Amino acid sequence: MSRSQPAAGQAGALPAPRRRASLRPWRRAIVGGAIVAAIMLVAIFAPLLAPYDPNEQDLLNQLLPPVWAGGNWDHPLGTDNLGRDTLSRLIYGSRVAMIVAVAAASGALVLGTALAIVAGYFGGIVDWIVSRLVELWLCFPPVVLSLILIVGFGVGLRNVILAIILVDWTRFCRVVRAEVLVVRRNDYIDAARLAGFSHWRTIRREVLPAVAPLILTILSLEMGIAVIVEAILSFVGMSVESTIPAWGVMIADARKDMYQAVWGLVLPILAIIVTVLGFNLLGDGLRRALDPKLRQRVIQ
Amino acid sequence: MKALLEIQGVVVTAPVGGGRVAVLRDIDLSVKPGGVLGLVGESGAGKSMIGRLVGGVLPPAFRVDRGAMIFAERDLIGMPAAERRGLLGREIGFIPQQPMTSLNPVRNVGSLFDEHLAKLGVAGRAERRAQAVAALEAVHLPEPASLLGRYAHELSGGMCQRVLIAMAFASRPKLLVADEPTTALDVITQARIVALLGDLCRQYGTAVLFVTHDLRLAAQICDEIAVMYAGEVVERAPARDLLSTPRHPYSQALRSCSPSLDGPLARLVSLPEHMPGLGALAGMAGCRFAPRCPIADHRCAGHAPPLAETAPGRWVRAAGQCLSAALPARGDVPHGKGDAAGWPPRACTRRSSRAIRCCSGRSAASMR
Repeated sequence: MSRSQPAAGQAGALPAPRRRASLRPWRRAIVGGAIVAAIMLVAIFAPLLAPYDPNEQDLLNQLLPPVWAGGNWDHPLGTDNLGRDTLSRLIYGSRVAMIVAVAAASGALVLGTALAIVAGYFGGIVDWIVSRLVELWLCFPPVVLSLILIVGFGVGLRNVILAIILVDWTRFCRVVRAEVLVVRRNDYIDAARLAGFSHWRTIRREVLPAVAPLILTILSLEMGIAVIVEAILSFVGMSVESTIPAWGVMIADARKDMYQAVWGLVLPILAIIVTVLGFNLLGDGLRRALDPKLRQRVIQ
Repeated sequence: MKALLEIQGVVVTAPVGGGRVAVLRDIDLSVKPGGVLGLVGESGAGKSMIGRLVGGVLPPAFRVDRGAMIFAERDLIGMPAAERRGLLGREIGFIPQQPMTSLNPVRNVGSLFDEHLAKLGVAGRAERRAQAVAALEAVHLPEPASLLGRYAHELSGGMCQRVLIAMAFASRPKLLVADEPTTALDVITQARIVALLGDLCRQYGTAVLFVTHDLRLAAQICDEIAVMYAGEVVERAPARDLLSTPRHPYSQALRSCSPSLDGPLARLVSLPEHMPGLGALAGMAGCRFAPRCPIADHRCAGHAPPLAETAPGRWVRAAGQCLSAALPARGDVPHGKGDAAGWPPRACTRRSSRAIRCCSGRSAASMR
């Protein structure tokens, strides 16, 4: 026989708090995070992991296939047309990809989110100006705009990052502004103002946490996009100098011999796909895991 | 006794079309220290706007054109924004209308309370936690310690409102603006919250600006009631007097559309049409109540009567002819169809729910 619970006050007994945190909603984020973390580690420890110098030419062993396609273990993933080790070039290429992903996406996040929050929170003329600016920006095709910017700035990794920031800040701005407009209408924003908190404090403590899951999602997606854009720009030779290995450069180099050595083309493309997939899984997983409403749904 | 909050002739305007319309017109109100002033009126009458006016968080493009607001001998309107913000949450507390949505859903009660207390200058996380637990206990919430780890969606409306009340009282404010604090709650919870508010206010000597659309609830807990219509105070009187002998036609209409438990059985009467919106107010020269007033005549269109004292403590915004016209008391409303030309303008029997909704919201439910 069960003893009846003592009355827990007039407001009624509370449901027992959820003590055990479930990993289930985090599954997707963990998979994505693991892929991203692995690539980050590879990029950081590239000199330790790479078996060869990425620019070391071995003209006797040109266009070697990978080991599963008839190659040898000296060059596990084969070599390119100058006999450079593909594995080492892939490993070093992750450095460029990661630097661009992190720097460009963060830069676009800061620029886009700052403008979005100012526009969405204060509204009025500020909102009008920012919205028109975004619309003006979206009139330009992104690839063309980034090519124009690179031509203007000159080639180089820093200019690639700058170009991606200047092209892709609208991605953050548009989406975050819309979300801020919704969040702004919430009673708790008014309540915070009536509790005497300043605009800055309200934005930081009430608005930002509410849009943070969204920002994280776009950040991850944007990192993936930055990797692709960097690959495009280095493919057309507008990114890093030719001495620095990048995935886009590898695709461009392998293009000429793709009928003889398809793996030289496939491997850097696979690297890009896996990286972008990792970022997208991470972003989507974080969104699901961080949104209390979505998390409830996953648990039930 | 010197008033704690004195609102003198305040005019708040908003842009409508090309010009500006007075959203609040010539508001004169005062709240004594420890006193309870009720603001009563239907939706859109400007009751909540007065709350926002006191807090200094008017909607964008709304501005105070004239008048003065004195709070504890300080001029609220002339005060620098930062200083005024400093008063909020410290000396002026707010209790919102929608408790469930007024707590940030992504932060737990403990985090919100901690931030609030930190702003009040309580040093030390442990000390703040202890104070938060004590404050939650003071509003009779069960298991206050475990409550700190909970989020708004895990609490009921009544519990959220108690949390908000606990936060508002954490600073022992001199004035509490309660903006329809019980509207979103069910009747039982409403009664408990009102009782709790009364206890806390008596305990700390807090004055209250109680915004409600429930005349009887206001009469029950307020010392003085101001009836608002279309941005104007149309009548101000001690609570008992206002309920027993309302002078303004609108106050009378408001009373006659809320049912009483012990009075004679009578039909509920509702006023025709709706309160004029901002657009309609722009072109209105005379008395704002005239289009719905049962005793309006040609004199009303061009003349906006001032709020005048008709008896000690009783202020009515009405011309002489409004007060002298004989109006039937609520018990006298005849059965059968009301006289189309005279009072009452429309008798609601089958559609009494409509009458309740348009005049006094939950009052019918709350009295049952």
